[in-house]
Amino acid sequence: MPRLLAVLLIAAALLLMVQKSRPARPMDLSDARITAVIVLLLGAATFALERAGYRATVFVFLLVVLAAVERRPPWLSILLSGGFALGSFYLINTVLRVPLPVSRWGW
Amino acid sequence: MEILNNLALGFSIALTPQVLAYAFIGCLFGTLVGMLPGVGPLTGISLLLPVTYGLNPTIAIVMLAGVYYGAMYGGSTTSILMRIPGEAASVMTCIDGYAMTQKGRAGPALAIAAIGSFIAGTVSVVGLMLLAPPIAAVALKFGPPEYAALLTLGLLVLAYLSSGSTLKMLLMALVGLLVGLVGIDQMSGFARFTWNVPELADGVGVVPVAVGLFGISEIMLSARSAGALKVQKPRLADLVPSREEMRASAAPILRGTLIGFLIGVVPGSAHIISSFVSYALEKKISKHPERFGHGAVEGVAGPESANNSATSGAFIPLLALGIPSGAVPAVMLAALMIHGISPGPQLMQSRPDIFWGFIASMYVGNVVLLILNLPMVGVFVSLLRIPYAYLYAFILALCLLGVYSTNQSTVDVWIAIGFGVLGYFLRKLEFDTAPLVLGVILAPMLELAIRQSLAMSGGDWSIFAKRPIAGTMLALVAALVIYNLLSRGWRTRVGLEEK
Repeated sequence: MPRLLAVLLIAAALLLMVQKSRPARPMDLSDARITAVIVLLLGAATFALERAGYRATVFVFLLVVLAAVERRPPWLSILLSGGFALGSFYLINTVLRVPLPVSRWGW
Repeated sequence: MEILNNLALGFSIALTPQVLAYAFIGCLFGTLVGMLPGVGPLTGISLLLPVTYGLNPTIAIVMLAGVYYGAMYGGSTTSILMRIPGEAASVMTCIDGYAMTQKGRAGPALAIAAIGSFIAGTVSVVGLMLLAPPIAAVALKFGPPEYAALLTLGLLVLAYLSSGSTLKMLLMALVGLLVGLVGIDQMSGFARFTWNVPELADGVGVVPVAVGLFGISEIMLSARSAGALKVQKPRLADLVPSREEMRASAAPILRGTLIGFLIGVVPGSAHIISSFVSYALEKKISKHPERFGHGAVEGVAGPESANNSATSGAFIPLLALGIPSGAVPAVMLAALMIHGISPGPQLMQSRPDIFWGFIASMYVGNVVLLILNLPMVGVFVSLLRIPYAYLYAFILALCLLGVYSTNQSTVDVWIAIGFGVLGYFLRKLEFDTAPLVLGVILAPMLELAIRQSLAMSGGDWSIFAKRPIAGTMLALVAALVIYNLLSRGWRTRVGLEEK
């Protein structure tokens, strides 16, 4: 089945290339910078998630996005990031008993 | 009589305080995700999925269904007040809904949208209740060849009926089917395309794919458009429509309900297509089509009823056949499977509590939404004053949380990020990613049905043609493909092909 799908996929792709009579518009990549930042931050958070624990990872992730990327007031960023990290951990892990990663230091 | 007994069983479940509470939470969350640009029902359901793990399956499906139809309600609010469709199905509501707001009729527009949604939601649940059992009874006669033919037909119809290029839709469905084949081969037990990653042995989950394609990629595309929105806050007293508006809305609501329900049953982005069809129909049959686009209440009543009705229609193939008709029902299917429930013709017999509890909860959910939406519309729109910079940061954190907690696996999060990047580029290139999600969930079912059919026939492919139901469905597939090729050739010859 994978081979059959691969053949159909190649055939459909070739047909699409043949059909495209109009010249392709250049892709608008004005949001490429923020996209790269989001991918990098999500990647770093995923790497850290099971090492540093959920609460620390999400706190730092949100703090970086709010305070550094979006330049929001630091005190508000700390408050919101901490509140979300602790609140969501309490709801998901403690109340709903869906396990979330905890660091080796217990947080 | 049997239906009434079953419905009584359903209401005895749906009206328990616990189920009511979770239906309310689902509707509330759905209304919010429907209102917020960048978070549609698919992302909303995917994010709420981990929360349902500790719940019983009936409560889980009731809450997730609440998110789905709550999002349909919520999407209309931002469309009417700000000309921002919270989700795709509300695009048509923007046109006349916002024009009514500019004329100072925001309240009646919201009220008509809510009333239309309520009537459509309730009537279509009656249709779901009446149609699902006989369809399931027919489906009990289906064997693997019929299922293989039905799945193929469903995917093809999805590609034809969705907006945009058919070929691009088919390409996306094929990519989805290929991704869905990653993991242990169900017949031979061999690992395929797992690259020695043990987590991939179970396959690529639909949640990371959906969250990546719809949640993360949407944030990537919209993060720069951030800023607080200017919002009108209608008062409760302003919501009452005039007698003239009520009279003008009655027939569009009924037509929208019927259109939405019928389109909802067919595979495709039902709730989106139905609102487009309803709007086009209302404009076509109106004695004053020139009023459309300038605040015609029919342009709000029809599409809003249609998209809500379509959500109930979309549950028929899922509950009666076990086949999702779109990306959102596909995620609902995944949710049920996580709880060990396989929707399909057996569900009504094996788990009547789930089936009828779910049906009854939809009646209750529609009432909850009406109560929730009209008096609290001012509170909801206040949320839109929150700058998007804050919203997108928290949505990303929720994506991370939702995907990780599905399997407690960082591999899933990497997959979601990968599909986020893929979705970003695909949407820049004008590909609709919904067929990809559907392909991921249908691939194992389709492959199993084909291989079981071939095992039945000793490898003879003619089994698909020899069985009457499967043969008819595959003939329809062939007719669709031939018709498309011939009409494309004809349009090219007479120079009608899109320039």
